[in-house]
Amino acid sequence: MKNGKIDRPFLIALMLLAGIGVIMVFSASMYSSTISGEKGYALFLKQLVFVILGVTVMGVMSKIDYRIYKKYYMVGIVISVFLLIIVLIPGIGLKVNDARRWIDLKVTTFQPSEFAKVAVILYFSTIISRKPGIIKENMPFLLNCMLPLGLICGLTAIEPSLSAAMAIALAAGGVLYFGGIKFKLFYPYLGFGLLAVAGLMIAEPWRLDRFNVFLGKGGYDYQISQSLLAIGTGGIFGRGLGNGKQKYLFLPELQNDFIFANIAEEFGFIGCLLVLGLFAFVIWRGFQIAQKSQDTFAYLYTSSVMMLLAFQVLVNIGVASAIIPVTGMALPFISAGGSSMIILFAMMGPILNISRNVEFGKKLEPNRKPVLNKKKIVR
Amino acid sequence: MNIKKKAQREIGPVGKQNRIMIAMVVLSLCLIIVIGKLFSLQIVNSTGKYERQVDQLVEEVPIKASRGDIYDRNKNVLAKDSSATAVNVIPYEVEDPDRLAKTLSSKLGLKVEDVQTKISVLENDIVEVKTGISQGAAVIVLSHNFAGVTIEEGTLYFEPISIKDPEAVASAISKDLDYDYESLYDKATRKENQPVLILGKVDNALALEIRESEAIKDEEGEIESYNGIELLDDYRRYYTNGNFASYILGFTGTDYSGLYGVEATYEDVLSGEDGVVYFQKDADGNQIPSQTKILKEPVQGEDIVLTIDSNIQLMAEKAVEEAAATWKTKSVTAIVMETKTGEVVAMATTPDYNLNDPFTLDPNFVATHAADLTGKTEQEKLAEMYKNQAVSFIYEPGSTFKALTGAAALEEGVITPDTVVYCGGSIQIGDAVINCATGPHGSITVSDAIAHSCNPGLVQIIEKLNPDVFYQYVYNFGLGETTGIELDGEEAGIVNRLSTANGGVNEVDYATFSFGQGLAVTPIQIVSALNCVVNNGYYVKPTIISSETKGQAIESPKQIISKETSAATREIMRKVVGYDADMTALSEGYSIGGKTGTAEKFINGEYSSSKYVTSFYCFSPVEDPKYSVYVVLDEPAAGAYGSTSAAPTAISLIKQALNYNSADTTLSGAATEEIQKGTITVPDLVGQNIDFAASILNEKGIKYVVDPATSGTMVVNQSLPTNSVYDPNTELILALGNADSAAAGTVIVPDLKGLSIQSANEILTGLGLNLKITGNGFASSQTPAATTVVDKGSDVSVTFTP
Repeated sequence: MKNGKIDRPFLIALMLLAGIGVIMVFSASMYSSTISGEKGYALFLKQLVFVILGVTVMGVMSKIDYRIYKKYYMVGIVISVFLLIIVLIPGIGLKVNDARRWIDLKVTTFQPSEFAKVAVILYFSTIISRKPGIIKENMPFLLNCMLPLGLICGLTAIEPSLSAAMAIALAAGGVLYFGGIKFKLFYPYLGFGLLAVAGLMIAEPWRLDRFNVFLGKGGYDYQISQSLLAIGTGGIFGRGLGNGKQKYLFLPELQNDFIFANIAEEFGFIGCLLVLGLFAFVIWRGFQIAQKSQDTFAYLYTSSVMMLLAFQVLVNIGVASAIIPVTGMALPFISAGGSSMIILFAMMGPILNISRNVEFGKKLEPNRKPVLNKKKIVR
Repeated sequence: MNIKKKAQREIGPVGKQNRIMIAMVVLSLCLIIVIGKLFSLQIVNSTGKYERQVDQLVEEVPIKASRGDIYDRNKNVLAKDSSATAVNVIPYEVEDPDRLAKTLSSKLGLKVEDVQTKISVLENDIVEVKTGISQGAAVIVLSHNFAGVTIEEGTLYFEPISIKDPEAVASAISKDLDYDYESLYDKATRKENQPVLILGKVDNALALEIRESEAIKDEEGEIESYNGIELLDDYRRYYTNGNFASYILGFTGTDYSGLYGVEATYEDVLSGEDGVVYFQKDADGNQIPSQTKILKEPVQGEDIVLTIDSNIQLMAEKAVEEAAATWKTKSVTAIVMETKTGEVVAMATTPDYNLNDPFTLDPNFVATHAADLTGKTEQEKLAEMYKNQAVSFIYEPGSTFKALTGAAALEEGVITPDTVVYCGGSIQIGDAVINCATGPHGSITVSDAIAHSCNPGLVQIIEKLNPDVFYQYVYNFGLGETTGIELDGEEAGIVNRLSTANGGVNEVDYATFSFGQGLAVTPIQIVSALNCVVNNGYYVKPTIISSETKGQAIESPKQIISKETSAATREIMRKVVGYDADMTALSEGYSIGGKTGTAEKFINGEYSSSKYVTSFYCFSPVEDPKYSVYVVLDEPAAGAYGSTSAAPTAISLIKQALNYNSADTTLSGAATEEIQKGTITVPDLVGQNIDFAASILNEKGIKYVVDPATSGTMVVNQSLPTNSVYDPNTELILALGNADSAAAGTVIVPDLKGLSIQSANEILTGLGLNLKITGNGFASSQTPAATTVVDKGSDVSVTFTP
């Protein structure tokens, strides 16, 4: 069973994305780093180091039997809650722009909400694969699923990081969806979630402002207009690597949430299609792995990680191109990141391990094969 | 069975496939929306984006082209660019505004109020005041409708220059937001943080002195700031001797373009064309060094060479001054022209004005022109002062015109020099009687009639000529239209054919026309016309720009009268000098011919009985003229005649010109001596190259020594103050230093290896070093080596290899 090879196309696509990320972070941060007195390549080096670390972690994890993680599903959720609580404590949590989302590890910073995403997927995938029944009935569903999720999302939302809370909720929702939940069991919580979001918007008027700006009701978002300028000037072929102009402090934090604008400016529509194509390929390939995986846990874990990945990509690009209102969301594997890059690669580790047991062969009826194989092995 | 049941309770393979399929369809739809949006942004609607980006990114700044120098025919410099300083103040950095305003106004001669206004200009950019303003608070703050107060993205901004009542704004917003009043008030009254120009073209020495006097020191005596003073490089037009040839040279205005004289007429050549440098700046307004490009190289202004000979010009200026002093004139003008080429070697008028201080009325001008200036504004008075009399003064030429009448009649063959006319002291023409001012002469030859300036004789000569023919001669001699000399403000004069009802010429007008009445000319016209008469009949257009600058073949001169007529007229004009005992005495030893002129001024439609214009034209040698000289006195004292007032000046001037050895191209010792008799002002030399300083001092005849204790290429200090009157018994001591000598010193040569020529140049220039380039590409070796300590202003030779 462990003799199978990891899925190379999936791995290569991931490495390409991370490679593009390293280069684009360099291009995007070169000027701002120089201006702030650092070396122009400071963030490039940091990104390179964390990509290497992340790939190493992913490589190690791809050799570990994924079923081992099921044992730690509870530990993960407890650590998440613990971290999400301590990050709120001044002195531990780093306050940036009125939000406490980071724990300062001196060398780098760490976002508990990033870790919570993995923990939630692990937790839900484990309990649903062990006891499918809990998503069939109201009380067990509430106690086992929605209460822990509500706690984690709530803690994340009061950081505040609404986008992270939504990503965690979506990841959990993904597991439930792929686990075959009946929608009528889920509707009330969906309604509750929407109400919570609406409530947060009213409580913090700047969220409502952003939404109004997005709807064109007055106001003007500097970042978005600069982002659209970057994307627009890119045209079909872009200005070429390093020739973007928005990096000259016009688009703040270009290497983070708005890295896609930099790609669009320097590589144009063609470059955007390439990046989108790579993401689409990774996600399609991931779903293939999920579908052909040997057991429910592998299927749930892989498909919901892909769902989360797709969500983050779409939200990030949606914000940069003004399809959706402004919210902070990094572009996975590409935006500059430290610990979050390691977590991202770590999330992919088990999928690579799962892919060792998946055969991509014939096109016809691929869904039957794993089942037949399983039977043969059992006998 | 058991297995099957379990499979049903879990999600089955088909269910798996369906749910994944649905997820993928939904995600694909999202992907299509994203791609569609990108397609729209990047391809369909990308027009105008680039321009908008350029707009926020790019700044175009002109590079001033340096203005060409003006030289005399012997390449002595007359006008040159020199370095000066623009005194600026950054209002935000001013610590003691009262002291600063006092210093600047007293040292720069400005009004205290004007300085105070400039040094307290408010910021015209947007100042960030406070972030994190909620929607509700924003509505309240904005409800006051204060100009210059905005809230964007929850951030409060002030635009101080638009805020009318900062106290009201600060107190209202302080209540609204429960925020510190002082802090709000400070930001609402924030001063401009860009340099504001106080005065340009300031002497370098004075500018440095001002800055030093405003230095603010900390406890340890280190200079903390200069109270907001910022000195920027500027250029200034430097005229080697303020009043010298002022009407010819003219000067430049505050925008550095020529306003008068050849500075104006040769503006296009001198000014060159400004270049454009293109800066990219980041969102904070910093220039991005690697993105700076020169879009258009400036075309430097070209030097021009005049036909003026400084030595003869100096003689002419001295001559007109003496005449003016003797005859208490309104003005005196002298023109010295090279006969064969029409090149003006001197053109002097007194009073004149100081080119280095052109916006001050010359006291002498004010005194002599008081009647013309009453009721005029300062600007109109200045404009009056700038008029170049040599080309713009129009007057009746009087008797000098008789030489033209005689030349035309001789050329037409209606008379010979020996034709006899009769002067009975007067002549009756129609119902008018024309008197002879010098007769009666009885029977007299035509040549003597002209020589004696006999009006009835001239009337009899002109009556032998068909008016149509004679007017054509007058036009051919260049009267009635501008000569086209390269100077501003030239007048055309007036030549009117006054006709009777039946189309003929009024006989009285025609008769008086013969001796120079009923027309108006300028000095340059008359000297050119008479020059034609003596130049074998060839009319050469007068010019002040040397042929090497014009770069074109001189127009072939037009022959108006024959060589023989010219020779005959020259002999007649020789008699003018010969018949006058004083003139004969004056021209002892020289072959000089001439013609006097004394005319009543025509003022308000009638001839004035007290105001005259006296003039004298002469040329020499009579046999083969080299120079034409014309001197005209406007309103000399009573008793002046052309022969007594203008002639001595003109004859003395032509003798000096002839004596002067034109091979001696530098100012002669004698000329220097003469300059020294006048007042010489000490120029501002601080900041100038020592060679340039030396050439100016030599030109002005100022004795100087270089302080042996100092060395370098630039003057950093001078012992005599700028604009003080130079005492020829003293010596000016110059202290030398190097570029950036205010902070003179040494620098460490940087390592340039691997740098492009542009980068190396930027770095070296920043350190005050000069780059000497060999090869191209990237720096591979350099002398002196990196870390060597050298003086500022030193050369660094760098070899570039591809």
